Amino acid sequence: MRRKAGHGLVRNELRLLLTAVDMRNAGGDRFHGYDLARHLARAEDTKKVMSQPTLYRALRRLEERGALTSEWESLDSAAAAGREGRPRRYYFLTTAGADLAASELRAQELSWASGRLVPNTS
Amino acid sequence: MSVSRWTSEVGAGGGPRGLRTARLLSRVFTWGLPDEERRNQLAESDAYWESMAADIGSFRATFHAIRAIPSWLWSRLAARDTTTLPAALGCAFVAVGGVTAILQPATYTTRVKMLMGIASAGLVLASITLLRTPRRLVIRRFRIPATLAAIGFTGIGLNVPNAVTLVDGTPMLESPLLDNLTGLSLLIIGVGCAAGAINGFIFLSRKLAIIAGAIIGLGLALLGVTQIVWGVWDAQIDIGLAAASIVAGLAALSLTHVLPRLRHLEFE
Repeated sequence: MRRKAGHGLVRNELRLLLTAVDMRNAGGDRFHGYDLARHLARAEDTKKVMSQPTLYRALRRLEERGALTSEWESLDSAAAAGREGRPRRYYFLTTAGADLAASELRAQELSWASGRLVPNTS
Repeated sequence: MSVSRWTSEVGAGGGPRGLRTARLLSRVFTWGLPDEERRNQLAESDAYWESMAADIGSFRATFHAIRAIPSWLWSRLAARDTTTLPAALGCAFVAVGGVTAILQPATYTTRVKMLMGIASAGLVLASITLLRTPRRLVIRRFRIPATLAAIGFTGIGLNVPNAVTLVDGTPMLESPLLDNLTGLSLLIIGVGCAAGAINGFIFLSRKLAIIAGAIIGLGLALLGVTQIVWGVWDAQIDIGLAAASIVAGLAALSLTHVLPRLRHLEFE
């Protein structure tokens, strides 16, 4: 997806970031990639989950922008969850990320309503 | 490296067949990345597919994995770090265009078809050679592909005006200008490939490899534009040949775009 001149985030990145904001507001402090994609799909009432390469490309860019941070879970924690030797990478929304989400909505003249990006009519 | 050894080393893992398919696709599309980056991507990818399989079932996860192939391809092709993958794909597409043209019944002379076959074989070998080492260019390995491509492209370039054979009454798009430009572009590509072949056999020079690449790129740019123009114009006469020309033209132009990036790779 091409970046429009003057905008920092493309649509997928903004959707994911806003979903992360929603998840944090709902009490979740960390999430892994599929969590985010599934939450976004359910909010949009669709069965179509963001594809894995697209998702992780967007997450990488959001991390580069400082909107998210990530860390790998420990091997002990993975083993305790039944994922011996297969730790997950968890993402955390940063304060800068929440601010970025708000500023991008303003800049792109969009609103986030029930998990969807809609043109700002106000 | 055999497939079984590859999968056991990288680990397509156990689990339901659908999940294994998704994991295998991840391994295919992360092939050639630096080790640490690949480990990280595979770990994230495995976690994603496991979570999806647990959520909606491994069969549907497989379907999503297959549906993600274009996205995977785009991720690799658009990656900011330079690899040979886009060039390999470009070579393969041009080869497909050449084979498509050969398969057009009674269109090209037997000689030209043979030369197209030789050029396409060179391109396929070049594509395979590029895929073998995605992060570096091993100059000597391009000897045979470059030689075949040089013979094929130069031969076709010299035969362009008489390349087509017609059944009596078959309509034919005639354009001496496009014929000459096509011939010239193929000759330029042939010269570039010949330079690459000589470099691969004798000099093994990075500078000469870059010069050869630049010459090929110039020829490809001219060929791409010429073939697209010719294909669009010929569409009303022979749709099959027009389609082959446009495919080859687009592939040639895409290869022109990716070739210069190869100079950033490590040469060996």
